[in-house]
Amino acid sequence: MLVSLADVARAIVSGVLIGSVYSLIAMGLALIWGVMDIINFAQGDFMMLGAFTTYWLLELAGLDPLLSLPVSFALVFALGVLTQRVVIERILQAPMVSQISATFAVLMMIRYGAEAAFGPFTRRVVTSYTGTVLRFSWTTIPLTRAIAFSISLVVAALLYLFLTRTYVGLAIRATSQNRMAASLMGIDIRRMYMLAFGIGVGVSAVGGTLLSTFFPIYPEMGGFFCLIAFIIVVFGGFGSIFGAYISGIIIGVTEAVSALFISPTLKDVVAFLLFIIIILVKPRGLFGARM
Amino acid sequence: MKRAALSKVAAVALIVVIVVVAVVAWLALRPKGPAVKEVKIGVVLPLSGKLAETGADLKRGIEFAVEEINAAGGIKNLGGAEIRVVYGDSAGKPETGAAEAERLITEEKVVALLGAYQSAVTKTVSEVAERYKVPMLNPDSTSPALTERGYKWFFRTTPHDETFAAQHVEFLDYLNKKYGNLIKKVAIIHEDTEWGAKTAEAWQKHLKAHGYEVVKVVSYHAATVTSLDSEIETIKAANPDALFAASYVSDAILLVQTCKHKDFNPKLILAQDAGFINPSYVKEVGKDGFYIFSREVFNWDLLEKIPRLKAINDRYKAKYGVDLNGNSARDYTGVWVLYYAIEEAAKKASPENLEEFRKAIRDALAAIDLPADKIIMPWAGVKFDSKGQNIKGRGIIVQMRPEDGKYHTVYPPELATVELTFPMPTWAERGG
Repeated sequence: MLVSLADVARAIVSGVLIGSVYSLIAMGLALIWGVMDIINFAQGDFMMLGAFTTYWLLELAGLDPLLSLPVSFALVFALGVLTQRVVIERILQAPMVSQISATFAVLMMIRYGAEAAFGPFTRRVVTSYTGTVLRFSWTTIPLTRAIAFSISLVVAALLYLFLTRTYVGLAIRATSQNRMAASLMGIDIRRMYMLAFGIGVGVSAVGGTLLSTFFPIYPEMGGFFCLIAFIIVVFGGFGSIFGAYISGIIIGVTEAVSALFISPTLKDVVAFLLFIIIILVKPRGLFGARM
Repeated sequence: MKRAALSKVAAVALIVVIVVVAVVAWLALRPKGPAVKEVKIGVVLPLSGKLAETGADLKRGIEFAVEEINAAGGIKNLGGAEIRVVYGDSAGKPETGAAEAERLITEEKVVALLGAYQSAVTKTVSEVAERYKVPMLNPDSTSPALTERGYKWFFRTTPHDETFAAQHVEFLDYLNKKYGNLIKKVAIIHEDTEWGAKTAEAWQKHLKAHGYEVVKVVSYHAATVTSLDSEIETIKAANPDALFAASYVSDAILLVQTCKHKDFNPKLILAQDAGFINPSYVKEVGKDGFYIFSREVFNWDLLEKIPRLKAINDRYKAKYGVDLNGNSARDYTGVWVLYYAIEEAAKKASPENLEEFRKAIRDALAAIDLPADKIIMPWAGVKFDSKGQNIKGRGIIVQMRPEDGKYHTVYPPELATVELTFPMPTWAERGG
C-alpha cells in the first residue's frame, strides 16, 4: 500500500489525540511515584471513577462533561486523600510487595465495587456536540477529542505552574527530592503525601472525564489504560511528570504510525518494543533524572 | 449376667430375621403397577457465577417446556409418565460442568443430558456423556468444533458460527441479486480471541467460495483497544463495499463511532451478533447504530411470523413477565426435541433398562425429522446429519431501524417484518 503524506499526518494527529489522554493518567502516576515511591496500581480505576462521575452527573443532573470536570477532579481528589490516609500512609515503609498488594487491593475494591453498583454494562456519555466533527481537507477530528487534547495541555501546564511556582508545589518537589531534609525544613511531609496522592489520582480522573466524551465506559475500563500509563512513566523516566506527558504522546503516535506502516494488529507490539529498546539504551527512561 | 447376654443375642437375631423376611416379602409382593412414573433428564447450565443471569433465563425456557409437556399428558408412550428435570450447576466452568454431568448420569440416573450454553462447558459435558453412552442434546452452543469430533451421542439443534458465516454470504448474494450487484469487495474487522478469529476465518472461506474479494482483514484486541482510528483508516483505504464485524460491546460502540467520524461509508455493515445485539450496545449506540445489520438466532418481531410462537410467548410472558429471547427459546425448543425423541424411544425400550433406553433415545434423535411448524425457532425444522448437527437450523438477519431504534428481521425474506434499507445511507445523508 502506498503511504501518502496525508496518511502519515492523519496517523500522527490521531496518535497525539489519544496519547494526550494516556498522558494525563501517566502524569498522575508519575507524581505519586516520584513523591512517594508508591506504585499505584489503582490509577486506571480512579480514572474510571472520573469517567463514571461525569456519566452520572450528566444522566442525573444534566451537567455537561466540561462542567463536571472540576467535580470529577474534586471527588476523586477527596477519595485519593482518604485512600492515602487509610491505606497508603500505613504501608509507606512496608516492603514493596506489601505496597503493591495494598494498591492492588484498592484497585479490586474500586473496580468491583463499581461493577456491583453500576453493573458490568457499557455506557456512553452523549452530549449535543458528541457527533460534531471538525473537517479538514486531509483529515477529520471529532470535536470531543480536540477538546480533550486542549484540556490535557491546560492541565499539564497548570500542574507545571503549581509544582514550580507555588510554595506547596515546591514543597512537594522538595519532599520528592529528599524526604528528611524537607522534613527538617519544616515541611509537613504527611500533608504533602496527601496532596500528591490526591492530585495524582485527580489528574487521572480528569483523563477519565475527557475520555468518556468519546470512548465507551465500563467498570473494568481502567485496566489497559493503567498498563499503558506504567509503560509511559517508565519510558519517560521514573517520576518525571513532564517526561510522562511527552512520552504519552510518543506512545500514542507510535501506535498510530506503526499501525499505518506495519499493521493495526501489531500497533501495541511496536509500542511495547520501542519501550523495551528505550529501556535497554536509557535504563532511567527518556527524561532520566528526578523532577 | 449370662442370661441377660443370651437374651440380647436372641433379640438381635430376631430383629435380623424380621428384617430379612420383610425385605424378601416386599421384594416378592411389591405392586407391579405402571412401570415408570417419571423420566429424568439432566440439565447442566451456568446457574451461578458470571453467567448466572443467562443461566436463569435458559432455565426458565426449559422449565416452561417441561411444564407444557407434562400438562399435555406427559410421555404418552410410557402411559403418561412425566418428565422431571434434574439440574446441575456448571458455575460457568468446564471442569465443574463435567463433574455435574457425571453426577447426573451415575447418581441421578438421567436418561439424557441437555445443556450447557458455553461451548467450552458443552465440550467437557459432552465428553462425559459420550463416555457413559448417554445421549446429549445441545440447544445453545455455537462453536463449530463441537460437532466435528465424531461423537455418536451428541446432537446440536442450534446452527453454529460456520452456518452463520455461510448465511452472511448468502445474504450478500441475495442483496446483489435484488439490488443489482453493488457488493464485490468485502473487508473484515474482528476482535482477536478464538471466537472473533474463527468467525473471520469462516467468513473468508465462504466469501471466497462465492466469488467475493476480501480486500482487508484487520484484527484488534478488545480488552486493550483504546482507539480504532488506524484500523478504520486502513479499511477505508482498501475501499470495500461491505464491512463484516465481529466485536464485543464497548469495541462495537467504538467501531461505529470511528466509522462515523472517519466518514467511512460502506454500503453495508454486517455484524456477527455478540456485542452488536447486546442490550447495552443497543441502548448506548443510539442513532449511529441505525441501518447496521446483524445476525441473530431469534428476534422479538418473529412473533408475527411464526404462528406457534405467539401463543407460547403469551403464556410464557404471563408466567415470567418477560418475552422469550434467543436463549430461552432455543432451550425451550431443545426440551421439545428431546421429548419427541423420548416418545419414539419408548416404543422400543423401557426406562427400566436404562442402558437400552438411552440407546433408543440416541437412535430416535439420529432419525428425527421435525417440520418447521413443530418448533418455535425460525428454522426449516430439525434433522441431524451424521455429525449430530441440525442441518435445518439457520439464523436470521436483523437491521436496526430508524423508526424505533430496534432490530427488525429482514432476512430470510419469508420471515422479514420490514423492508430493509440498502445501501446504508452515508453519514452525511443522515445528518448530525
